[in-house]
Amino acid sequence: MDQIDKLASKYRYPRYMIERYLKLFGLNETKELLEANTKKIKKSIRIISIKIDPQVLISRMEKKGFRFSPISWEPQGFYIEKEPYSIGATSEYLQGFYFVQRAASMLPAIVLKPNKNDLILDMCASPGGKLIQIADMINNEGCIIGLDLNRERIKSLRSNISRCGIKNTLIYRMDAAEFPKSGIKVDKILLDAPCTGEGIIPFDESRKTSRMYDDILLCSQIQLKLIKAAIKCLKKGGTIVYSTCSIAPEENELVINTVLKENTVEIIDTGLSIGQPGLTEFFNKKVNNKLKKARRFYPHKTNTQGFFICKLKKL
Amino acid sequence: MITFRNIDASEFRILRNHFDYFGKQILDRISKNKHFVVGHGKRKEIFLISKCLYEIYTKLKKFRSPYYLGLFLGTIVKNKFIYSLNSLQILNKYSNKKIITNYRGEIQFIYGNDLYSKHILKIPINFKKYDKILVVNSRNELLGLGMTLYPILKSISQDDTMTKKNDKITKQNIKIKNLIDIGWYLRKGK
Repeated sequence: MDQIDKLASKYRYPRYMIERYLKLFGLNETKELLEANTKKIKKSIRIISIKIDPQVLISRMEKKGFRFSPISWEPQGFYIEKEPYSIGATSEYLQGFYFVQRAASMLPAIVLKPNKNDLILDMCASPGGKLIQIADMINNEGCIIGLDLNRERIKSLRSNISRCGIKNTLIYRMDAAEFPKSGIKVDKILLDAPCTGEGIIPFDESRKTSRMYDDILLCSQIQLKLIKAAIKCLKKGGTIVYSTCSIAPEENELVINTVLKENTVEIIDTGLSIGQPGLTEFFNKKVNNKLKKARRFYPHKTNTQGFFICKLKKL
Repeated sequence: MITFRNIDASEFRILRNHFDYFGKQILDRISKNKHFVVGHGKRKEIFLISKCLYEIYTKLKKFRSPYYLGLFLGTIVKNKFIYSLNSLQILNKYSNKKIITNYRGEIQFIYGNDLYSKHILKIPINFKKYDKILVVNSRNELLGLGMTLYPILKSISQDDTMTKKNDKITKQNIKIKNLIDIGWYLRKGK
């Protein structure tokens, strides 16, 4: 039995995933990643400040037996340290005072830096965590266009928007790749692209075997289609924040590298001091060196889900 | 197929009547510089949207109909208006047609159950039989909309504390039927 089989058998991964991890990270880091993926990552919430003062809510929830600790990059984000009963079933949740949102998922909206005077497009908006975060950051003013194609997911988006009292959104059920046909040009775009979800294994162990290598390739095609559409509907000088909850370079650096070749966008700094730089060499391929400006997040390094963020500016 | 258009006079009259029920001029206050848009399919959904949203909505109208926009106020079905939880939140800011529940009542109500005298902390005004009333907790946070099944008398003076046991409440025959509550978000909204 070789090293790949040993690790695949010990951690119950398909062989192809272990092979890829070894090529990307080497033996020691692969072991660290696999081990970190077996450990639960803390759940977290983001408090909606247009509804309640975060400290008031924390003290209310602590009286009910919940315990929290702050998330360093988001003042309104808190890890749940103790959850006597489901955080998604409290009367405070029903009042729309918070959204149950993973800590790394709070980063794209922070990187986007929304302003109430911007026209903002969220291309894959359901179930609404990031869209609600943006709406909250601009004090429920301005205009956000949210898109989603999935009939079931868009229902939960609507319910979440309504629960959190968000009133500055226009929601369309459509394929985001079709949006350039509208002729509307926007200032800022959040593209949290559909992905294989390789980064969420700590939350969902079934992901280890539910997706195959072909799925990575399929997702990367969709991601490329979406980011090209995003660039088309962006104003000159406008910015796109591209993110996925996958750590596969084909869904991240390779997608960005392809659009960089068209010289319509440039990579700009995310402004984040956390996370690892994007990859510039992998699987015997070299990509644009500026991809270092992207940020990668791993369970064994940042104690978050696996995540990727990149910020682009239209030339 | 749902088509979106501006509100017409008869729909606006229905909307106004239902908002006026909770207090005159509430609708005027909340709709200043805003637009009412109707999503007309099997039923009519009424939305309130800002000027800025309205401009984008108008530009996009030929391209695609929206799924949701601005603030959802409620639905008109056969000339009757069904309040949304969002519109009840707004009404709660301006209206005193409400009943304040204790913690036990809050839990009962958000589980979709009716309220009885043991659940009530304060009744600010008199209510007639079949009056629609807002149901709120002791922090004045909206829990939903109820309907009185018996007349209810105002039961506590402004000076009384809300936690004091009040004989006027316990002696009254109170039953408030649950029409809609925020538990909807868990039961049906997911």
